[in-house]
Amino acid sequence: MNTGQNYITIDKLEFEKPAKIKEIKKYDTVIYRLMEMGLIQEEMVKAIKDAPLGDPLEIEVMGYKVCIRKKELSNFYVEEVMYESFK
Amino acid sequence: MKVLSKNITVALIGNPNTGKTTVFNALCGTRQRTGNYPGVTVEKRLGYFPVDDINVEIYDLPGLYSLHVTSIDERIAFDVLTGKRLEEKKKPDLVFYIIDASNLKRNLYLLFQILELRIPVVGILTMMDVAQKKGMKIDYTLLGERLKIPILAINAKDGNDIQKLKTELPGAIKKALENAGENYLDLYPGNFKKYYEFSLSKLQEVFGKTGTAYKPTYLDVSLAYTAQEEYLQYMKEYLLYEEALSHQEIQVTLDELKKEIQVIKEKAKEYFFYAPSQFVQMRYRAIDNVLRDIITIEQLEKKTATEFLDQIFTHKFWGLILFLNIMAVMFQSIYTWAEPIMEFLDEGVGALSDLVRQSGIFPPLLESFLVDGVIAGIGSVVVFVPQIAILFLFIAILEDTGYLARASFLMDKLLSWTGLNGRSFIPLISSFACAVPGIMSTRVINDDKVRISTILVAPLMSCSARLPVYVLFIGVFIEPVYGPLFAGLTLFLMYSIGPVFALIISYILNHKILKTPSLPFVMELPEYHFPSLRNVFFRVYDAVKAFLLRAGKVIFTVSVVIWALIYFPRDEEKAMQAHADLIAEIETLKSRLEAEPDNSELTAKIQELEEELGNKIEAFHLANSYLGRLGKFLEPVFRPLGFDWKLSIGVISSFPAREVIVATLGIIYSVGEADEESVDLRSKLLEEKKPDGTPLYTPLTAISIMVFYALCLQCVSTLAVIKKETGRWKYPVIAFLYQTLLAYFVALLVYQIGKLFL
Repeated sequence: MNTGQNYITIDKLEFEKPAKIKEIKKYDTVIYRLMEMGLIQEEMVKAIKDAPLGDPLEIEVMGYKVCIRKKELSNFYVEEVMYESFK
Repeated sequence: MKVLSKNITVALIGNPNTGKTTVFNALCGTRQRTGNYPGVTVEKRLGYFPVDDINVEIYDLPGLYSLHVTSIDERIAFDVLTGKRLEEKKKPDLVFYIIDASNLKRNLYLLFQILELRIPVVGILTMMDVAQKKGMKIDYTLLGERLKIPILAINAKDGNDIQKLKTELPGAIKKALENAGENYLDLYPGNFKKYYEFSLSKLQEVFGKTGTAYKPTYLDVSLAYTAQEEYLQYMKEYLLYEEALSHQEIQVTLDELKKEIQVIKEKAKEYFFYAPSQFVQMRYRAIDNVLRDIITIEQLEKKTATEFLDQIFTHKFWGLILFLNIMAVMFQSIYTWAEPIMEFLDEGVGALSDLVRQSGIFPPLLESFLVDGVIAGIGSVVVFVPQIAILFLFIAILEDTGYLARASFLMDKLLSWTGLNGRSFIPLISSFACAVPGIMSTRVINDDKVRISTILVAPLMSCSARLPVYVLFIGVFIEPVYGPLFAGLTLFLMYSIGPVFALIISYILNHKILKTPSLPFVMELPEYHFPSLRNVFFRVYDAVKAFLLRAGKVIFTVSVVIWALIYFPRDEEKAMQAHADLIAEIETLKSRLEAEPDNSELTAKIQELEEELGNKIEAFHLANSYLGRLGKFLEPVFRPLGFDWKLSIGVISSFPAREVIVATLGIIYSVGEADEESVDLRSKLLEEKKPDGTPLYTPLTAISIMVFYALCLQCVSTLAVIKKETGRWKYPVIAFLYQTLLAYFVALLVYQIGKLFL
């Protein structure tokens, strides 16, 4: 699997920095569900904030906001982009 | 072309938070019923409404993001859509699909899965106002043309729009039914279309051979490929229970299916896709195609009210503070509003009982049956209604406004290590007031495994019924000896024991015992909006009605049974004989009174003695009743915990309802009616001595009994509600058994270890 140097996982993203999903680390039923919720390749995501105790993370994807635990988000590799192209 | 019949069945489906329930309530009003699908925790909501001359029967399915067969909600939805859960096993005539306009892309995913089922669909586009605020304009007519389904656009909260919906529905229904048989695969890329056709024919071959009624659809193809294990399991259960195939026939079918699924997977490689995830990508690509030029951005997106509010509500510090305040308010209102109503109900029950007693028209047996059995039984059901109503009012408002999701977001980390998630927090906290509404509110948890484990640990939260027990024993044995500070600390400790064990047991349940697969914790944060009064009203109404009808029957029945166990056998003669001396004394005084009618001291003394006689006889009857004999019989079991036979009777009698122990102890110790503040009862407890003259009750006994009460499930109402919410008897039985054992052994440990030190 190619993880380019500028690929990091969603849980490591700086807040409010848009990024595009590039690789998904593995496949299982949990990951599959997250994909169905919109976390697919070439889709834009943005980390917004984390909960007071550190987890879960609120992210924006496909135009809506959802919170997901960091452990699950660590399976999604993204590339930061220069501009926001959500629409 | 299908002729429009007079009665049609519709399945209402869509993502969560799309206003689906608002549409359902607006269309059906009070013509709706809520129940459970048999044997599962999923809520079944069925409603009726007329459209022109058609009677529509509409099933409100749980909000879903996708149709799998991995979670119970999805299995039920799939069952309904394929006709397994409806009357006469037919598929619904139509699906009403609710689409959230502000969230179009993801909303269409489930729609595409439903189109694969080839059921006619009417699309209902909601949240147009939200989309507008986000600066989006949606050409839904074009969208409907591309999808080949009629789409009606409404603002679910607007009454006029609902009227408009009703007038436009007949036309839309007709149009949808005309399209029945449409092959929606044209929406998919060419190679997927071919692949689906091929795979479906393979599955059809297998089912054709079995002679069952099951007709696989395109959706079966993607389910079989992406969730093979669960799909096979689902089919196995279906063939076993619904089609009543023999185990051998089923095994043959499953083996064939497995073979064909392998063929299907191999074939996929021909079309250059290897991973199940390709189905997801393919559907979204098809959605992208369909959505081209549909959405236009009219203006630059400005910050919505939701984003602004979330700066506070999910703020690391202020968000938490606000949340704690909201919880405090919720708790406080249960006490401030529910308490007076509960007292009022109590008084009503008391007045009714007095009425029956004073009328004097009933023989003693019937009188006791009516007062202590029936009226008390009804009272014990009705007393829960205020708490349930208030708690559900809060939860309905929090959920409808969208705040509940934020609360779960804040609290998730606290609970995730145990296998629970943020949604369990409010049901668990509510159980501190009373587990009955707390357990009912686990509806907000969509993960079945988490819902069940939350239900199983909720009774460990120290509910308000335990308080009288704590107050009595701390007040008698701890405070006088160790002072108020220590007393307060003990109270706090008793409250904490429950939650600590709850977390440990959740951990064990979720990681070691419950075998269902884990769902990821995914919580959508919907836009905030004002709560719909109608939705809130129905939520509360549903909850109260369901409780009264279902849990109510069980609670009432048990009440009457317990009454019988305490009442029978009743030997008046023996009671009199046992107290012959006291009776003789009273007779002597009475004959003296005849000689001195004005002697008030004498009259007072007679009254006092008569009261004492009454109490002693009651104590005698209780000790000789079936319940009393059970208590004495079980005394050796409870002795290692430091209890004697009187306390044993108290404990046994309070299995249906905890706080009963105080009243029971009052009877056993012949102080008549007692509550936890009763001075007489307190002094009697202190006076009790063992045969060797040392006090029976020590601070250690007090702690032992409080620990027992903190952990034990002594509440038939809770058991009834667990059955109602889970649909099975096994869960209340499990809860009762594990908690009784836990309470017993922990109290045992505490007492025995304590004896070594004190």
